[in-house]
Amino acid sequence: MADLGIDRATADLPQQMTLATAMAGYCPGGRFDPDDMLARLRARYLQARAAGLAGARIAGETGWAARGVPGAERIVECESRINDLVVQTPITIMCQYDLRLFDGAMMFEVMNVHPVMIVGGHIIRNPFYQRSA
Amino acid sequence: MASATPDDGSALSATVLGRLLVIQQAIDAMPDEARIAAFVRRALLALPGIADAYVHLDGHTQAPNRRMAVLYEHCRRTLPMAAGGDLQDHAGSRACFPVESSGQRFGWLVLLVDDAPTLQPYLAFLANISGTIGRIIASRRYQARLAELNEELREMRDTLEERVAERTRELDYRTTHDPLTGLASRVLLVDRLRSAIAAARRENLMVGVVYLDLDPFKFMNSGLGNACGDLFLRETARRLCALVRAGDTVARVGSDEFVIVLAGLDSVERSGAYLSALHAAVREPVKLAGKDVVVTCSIGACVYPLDGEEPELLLRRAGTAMHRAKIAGKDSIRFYASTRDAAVTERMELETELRQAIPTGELAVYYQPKLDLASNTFGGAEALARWVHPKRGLLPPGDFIPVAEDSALIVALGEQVLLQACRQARCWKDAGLGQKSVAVNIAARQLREDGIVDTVKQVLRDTGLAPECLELEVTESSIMHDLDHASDLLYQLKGLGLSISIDDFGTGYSSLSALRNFPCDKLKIDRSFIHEIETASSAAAVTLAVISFAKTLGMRVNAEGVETPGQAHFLKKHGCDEIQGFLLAEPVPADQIQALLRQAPAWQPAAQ
Repeated sequence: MADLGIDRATADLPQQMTLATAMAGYCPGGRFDPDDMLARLRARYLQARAAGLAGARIAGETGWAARGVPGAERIVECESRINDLVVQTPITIMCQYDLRLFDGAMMFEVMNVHPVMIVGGHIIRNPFYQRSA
Repeated sequence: MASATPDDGSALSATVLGRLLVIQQAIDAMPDEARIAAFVRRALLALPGIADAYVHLDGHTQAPNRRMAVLYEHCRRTLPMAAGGDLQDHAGSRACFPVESSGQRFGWLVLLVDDAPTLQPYLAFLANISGTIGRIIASRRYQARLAELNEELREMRDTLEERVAERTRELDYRTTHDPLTGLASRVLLVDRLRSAIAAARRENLMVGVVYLDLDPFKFMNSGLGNACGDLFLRETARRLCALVRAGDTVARVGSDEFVIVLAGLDSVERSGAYLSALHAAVREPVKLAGKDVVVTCSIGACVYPLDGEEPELLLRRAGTAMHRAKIAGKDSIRFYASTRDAAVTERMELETELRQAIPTGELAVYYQPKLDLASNTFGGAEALARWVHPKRGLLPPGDFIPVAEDSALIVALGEQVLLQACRQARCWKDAGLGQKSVAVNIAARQLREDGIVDTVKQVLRDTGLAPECLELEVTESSIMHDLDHASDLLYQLKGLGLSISIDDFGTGYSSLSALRNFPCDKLKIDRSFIHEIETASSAAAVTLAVISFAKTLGMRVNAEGVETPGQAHFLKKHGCDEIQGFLLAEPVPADQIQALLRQAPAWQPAAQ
């Protein structure tokens, strides 16, 4: 963190940055539920705002979804609904998928629900993305 | 939707182009061919005009549905393998793109087209996608093959290096070791001898070089065969190695010749003990072909630095000595400097005889009574070892104790004397002589043995002697050698209830300060001072000082070697507690001591 110029010692709020395991972040009860997930994301944003911060950014690893965690089949649904969430709650979310863990069709489905993607090192609008009506 | 117009006038959609671009870029990110196929198929279904898609990559993709299977078969059969050229087939309802690179085909991209005009503008881009897949697959397979070859090369190199190292080790070993016995060869022997000489020079010690030649060995080979000869040599090597220490070297330098380097010797006599042991070991019968075979050997020895300082010279001189042993009749030992032969030979013989004397009861214990000057009665006696030698007669301790101490026989000898003395003292009690004590000498080497406390405990138990009737005498020099260990040991011995005396006091350069903390009951003034107390004021002064020192610390004082009434009077006058010596009685055998203890002493102090 120091190499990145992030000096936690001088952070105004001790909880401005938190780290958690992927399971704790996505499936705190051992099960993945999109409603709970979205509620936690919303709450996190509101906490940040209440603390006087400009917003919140969240990055998560999704490898757990390839391990048969109950509810994992709803991850694409959740990804899709995040697009609606960020309209009301301008939170920045980056989801990381290890291509070695998911099959090609699954990767397309995931890609399909993200409005923005990084291709060849460039951030572009996803041409496959179609906002649900 | 943004669009562009290709050359043929059809419209291109930016969105579709964007999708095709994303597909092309994403292919490289897919980790394997199965994922490539699945992703591309799914992504292509999002393009207009494509009803279904199938990406076949040989060996990596699942079977298609039935209609795509038909299309795939058609593509596969009708579009031949050819170098370069346009192999694409776009026939209205289907589009087939080979997945290939550099003339190698990996599979097919097969599309079921439901709107050919809409798809038409993008056919070239679709061809790019199949080409990209082909290039990526070719590149990855090439990289994988390269990694395989590198790994094979690495393994081959490692194997080769290991074989070279092993071969080098084998060659080194063969150069430095005898293949039959595993002993050092002459090359290694000279190297080790050189190192031993260097170490001895630094530490002011000696090195023994021993040349051992088996006597009738050629005779054995011709009689019993070479296989037996080899077995004998291996057994001989094993025996020689078992006798030497870790820092010594045993080498085979000829068919029946061995050289032994004895490093770090502190005396020539020490080498004599080894020579005797080596000689005896070779003579022990060896079982060969069901027979007990006895082979003797001739041994020659020389010593660094007395006989030379260079390895080659020492080896030559040891060999010369060995030849002298051969000429003298074989089965013998000779030193290079013949003046050493007689003394060392005699010593070796004595040691051999002493080794046999201990278990066969040739050792006898004599007793010299000690007079208590206060009561003018004999308080007990000192036990002294004697050797009833079958040929030489009664040998005093000075003739054999040094040999025993050099060879560790002293431990067994000391235990014998302790046992006999305790039995004798018990007899005194049983005979109504009261609590007479017996004093037993403990050698320095016995003090270094951890078992001495248990030995004494066992002897007291076996003989039933009361501990307070046993007095152990340790020399001043033996305890000063290792103060901490000696102190610990003496405390343990005192804990058994016996008493401790410091023998030969005044000769050991002891620290009086250290002695203050030792659990001693008595100091024995060395006879050399007693001998001169009437004639040399210095001897008298030392004697008085010792008495005063002992009294101050609450210890009793014994004077040994008292031979004249004048000496006895002096000692009594100045507070000595106990005396012994020829003035009172010579050491006598066990069957005479009881009578002596009952008698009034031969010397009586005059009334003062």
